[in-house]
Amino acid sequence: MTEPIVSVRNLVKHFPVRSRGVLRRRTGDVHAVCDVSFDIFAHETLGLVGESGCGKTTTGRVLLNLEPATAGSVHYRGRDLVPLSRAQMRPLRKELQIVFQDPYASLDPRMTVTELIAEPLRIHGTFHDRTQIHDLLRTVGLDAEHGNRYAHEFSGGQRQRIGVARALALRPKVLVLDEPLSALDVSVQAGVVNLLEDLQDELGLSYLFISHDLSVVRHIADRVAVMYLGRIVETAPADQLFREAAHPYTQALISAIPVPDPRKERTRRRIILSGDVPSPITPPTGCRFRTRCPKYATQLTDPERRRCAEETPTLTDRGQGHQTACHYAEALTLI
Amino acid sequence: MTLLSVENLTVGFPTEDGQLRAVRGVSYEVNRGESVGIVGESGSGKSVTSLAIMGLLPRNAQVTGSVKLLGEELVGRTDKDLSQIRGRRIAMIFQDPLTSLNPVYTVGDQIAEAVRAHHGVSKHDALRRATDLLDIVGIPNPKLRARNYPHEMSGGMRQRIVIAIAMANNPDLIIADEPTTALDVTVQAQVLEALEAARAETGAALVLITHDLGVIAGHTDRVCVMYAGKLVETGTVDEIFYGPRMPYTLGLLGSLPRIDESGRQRLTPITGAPPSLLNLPPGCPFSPRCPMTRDRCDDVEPVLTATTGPDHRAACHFHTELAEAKAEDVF
Repeated sequence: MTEPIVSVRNLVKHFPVRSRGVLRRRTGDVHAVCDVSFDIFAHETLGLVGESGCGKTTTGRVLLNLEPATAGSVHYRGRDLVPLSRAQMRPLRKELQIVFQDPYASLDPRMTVTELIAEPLRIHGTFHDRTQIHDLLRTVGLDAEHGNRYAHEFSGGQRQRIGVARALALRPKVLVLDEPLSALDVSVQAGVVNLLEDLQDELGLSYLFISHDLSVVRHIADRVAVMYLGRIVETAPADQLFREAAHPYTQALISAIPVPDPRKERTRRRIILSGDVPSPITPPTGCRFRTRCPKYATQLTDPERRRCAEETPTLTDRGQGHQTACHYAEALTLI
Repeated sequence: MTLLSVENLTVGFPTEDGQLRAVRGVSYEVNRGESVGIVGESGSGKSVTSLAIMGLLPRNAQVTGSVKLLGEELVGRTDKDLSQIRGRRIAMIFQDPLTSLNPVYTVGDQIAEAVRAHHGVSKHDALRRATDLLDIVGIPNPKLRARNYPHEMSGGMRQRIVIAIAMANNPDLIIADEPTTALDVTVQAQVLEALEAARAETGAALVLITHDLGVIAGHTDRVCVMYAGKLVETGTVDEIFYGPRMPYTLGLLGSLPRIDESGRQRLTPITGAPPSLLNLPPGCPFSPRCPMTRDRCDDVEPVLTATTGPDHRAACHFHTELAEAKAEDVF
């Protein structure tokens, strides 16, 4: 087996919750990321999916050391990034880049496209001349003459391409893509998806693709990790996950995605979850999903339920890289 | 039986750069109890159309054409007249439930208010009706929850409150404008189920406006595809999804990644961006992005014409060439 390029182990991130008033005492913690471990291999896309507030964006930011980790390690090519200072991180930033969700907020409106893309090159002292920028623009499917314009002159899809060009400028090995498509219309989304796939093939990039959209993730990811309330509840090769999801949360998630196919939609089985995601300040004991779990509510006996409440399920291997954190996991075919 | 009939509806907004033609002649009908989906990308005019039907556009909007509810004309009516119809016969659900609800009243009071606005019932009876409605839309502990304020509820629950308000007076028609766009998928499933429950209870027809073709596939009988302020294709949900006859519809379907298909088939994006509605060139508005475009497309704007069946209509000069076409061959 080849070595992973990024290896995350037992990553924890807590944000303090402070009281109001002068003292601002620490009254609790938001358990944003809790004991998360995963690997990203070279030339591979790992999809990190989950609903809002599940900690997927925080995981991406902690991975890049944009937020300090509370505990755990992030090894990039064998080196732990967590203890590194900003200055120590700087040379590594060339190899680890991020594309942000909102292409309207992540581009400085007062810089031309050329300046935007040249900025990381200037910081790292590798800016030589404009042909570099023109090449990058062409790589992401824009024209060289677009370089003299400002971000507001572009559509959402074009802006996201500028964001990708900027992230690619330093020839990174790993790209964290944080919901790069969610601000775009569907017809434009497809172009950016194709671009990301082509770039990966050409440049041998590794992606951490963070998204709430399972359809896109199935399309782009080789492996998928599903997060719920700060924990990874299931991880598997993409096709396997969608074919035989074994965690009740993944099953509910997959069954809830509408398919653009009327005949299939009419006959599909839906698992409707009750209630809402609990607060990450006081997550449920044991399995964090049990408060909404349809299996816990309808199929388990009382002693079995006690186990869900007392014992935190850990990721258990089901073979072929398919791991599930559920005491009573059972594969289901939903599509 | 025709419930709502929209005929040649146009909406313009005066701007400094000339008139913005947001809706350019839209006609469609909704039958009793039927569910019609309106799909299109941002800026295609789908929301403005429904706001025009409800008479909720700002004063500077220039509306022409006709909107008839059971034969009764709505365009040109005064606000006071329309408020007899809004909420009672046509109800509307907006995208953001937090701005639809009043933060200083309990949700029970707000539902009761909707009941009392159109029926002379006592406050006590209205509150009891509110509790029943909360139960129908799937709010647990409805009696207790009726005393909550909107900020004490999650986004999905708030949207279910809005649905409860919409169904409070047994309307003939519910217009839902992107009702689940701001919500997570599992919550979206809950809200769509509440919407179906509301329809089953009231027998109301539904106009569902969304950009999500998956939601359209599962919850509508007929579909209207909008582009640049016009309908470019209409038909039953099966006709639209299995045999689109307008390149734009075909392109939209081809650009969707699908959860029920494995592997890395290439998606077929539509190049370019929708045109500005300020000064549209003559001809087909989709022509600059259309791979099939020819001279005629830039000269004459196509009108909706019957294709495979009388109700399956497409606005394309060359719709016959799209029979059996696949998105990856065309785009």
